[in-house]
Amino acid sequence: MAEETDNKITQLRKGILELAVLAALHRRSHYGYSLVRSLTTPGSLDIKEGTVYPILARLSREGLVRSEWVESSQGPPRKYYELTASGRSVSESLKAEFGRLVLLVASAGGEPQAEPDPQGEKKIAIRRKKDE
Amino acid sequence: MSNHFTPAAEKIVADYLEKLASLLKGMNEMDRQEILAEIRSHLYESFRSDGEGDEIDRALRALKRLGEPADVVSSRVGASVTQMGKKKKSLLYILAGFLIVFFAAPLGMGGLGLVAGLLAALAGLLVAYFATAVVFVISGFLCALIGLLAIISPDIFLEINRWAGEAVFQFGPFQNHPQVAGLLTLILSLMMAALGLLMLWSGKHIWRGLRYVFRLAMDKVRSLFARGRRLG
Repeated sequence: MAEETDNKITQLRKGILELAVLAALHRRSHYGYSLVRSLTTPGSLDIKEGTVYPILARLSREGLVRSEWVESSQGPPRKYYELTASGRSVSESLKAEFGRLVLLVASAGGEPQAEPDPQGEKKIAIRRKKDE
Repeated sequence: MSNHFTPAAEKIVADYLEKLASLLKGMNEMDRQEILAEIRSHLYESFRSDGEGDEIDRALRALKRLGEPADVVSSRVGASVTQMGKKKKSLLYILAGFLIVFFAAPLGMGGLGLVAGLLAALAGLLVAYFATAVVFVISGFLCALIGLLAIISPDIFLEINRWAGEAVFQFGPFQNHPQVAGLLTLILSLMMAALGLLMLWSGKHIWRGLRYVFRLAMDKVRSLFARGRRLG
């Protein structure tokens, strides 16, 4: 039973990861590792770091992000990603939709509705849900 | 490629990247190199920001956090490649399905035993195969040494024969030309060593294939047990 719950939580996180990636890139450009860091504080997310790369590749194929290699002062060059114009607009509509879904889930559970905080970081809300 | 890792960490990382590269076979070379460079860069950042323990621990932890090579490449490999992989896999699934239908299903646990037996037999064959190959290589080189010795100083063998009082070393039709015999020995034994090496080389592929079938079988058995537990 607990195993199945874990499974579902993993599925949910995976589904939301793409949205989280878009949201993070909306704030600023990232290279893979810094993106992972912005999505997780160490040890909190049990999705493997590597899973962001297939997502970035897909977003890139869809023209939602573009990338460029930038030399690093220490270590190998980093591949930076940033949202394209269409990436920005997709990210915004997904974010709005996600806000509606959160409200829907909260009200379906009979919990008092919280006003969605437009500046709020969605990933924190997700993590809190999981910890309950 | 310039090296940013310490040698031990570099070896671990290179090993991982090699596995990753083999998953990306069939992709065009430029994309492939780019992915490998990106993952290397990730591993370096991860390695650098982890301050605990020695370099090997840090490298291994970086890999653990990153996940399996399959996590890194899933769905990013072009459609054609995935198709190819699927085709190759489905052939093995058919083979596994065949084994299970013909052995496992009608015979129940006995069938599973039979499959296990088959796998054990395969493993035995594999061991014998590699043992033969290794013996070929070693004895090939040893005989080549003897042949070489016979060419350089044939007297040694005649000397030994004289000392022993009987013909320990016989050169057959080349009794009076030990150097010719030495040359023949050298050539034949080098051919044997080459055959052994060839066996080892092709064995690598056989080994990979068998490992795949074995893992597939283990997965099936595990899922069978897991299902049994859930039902029970």
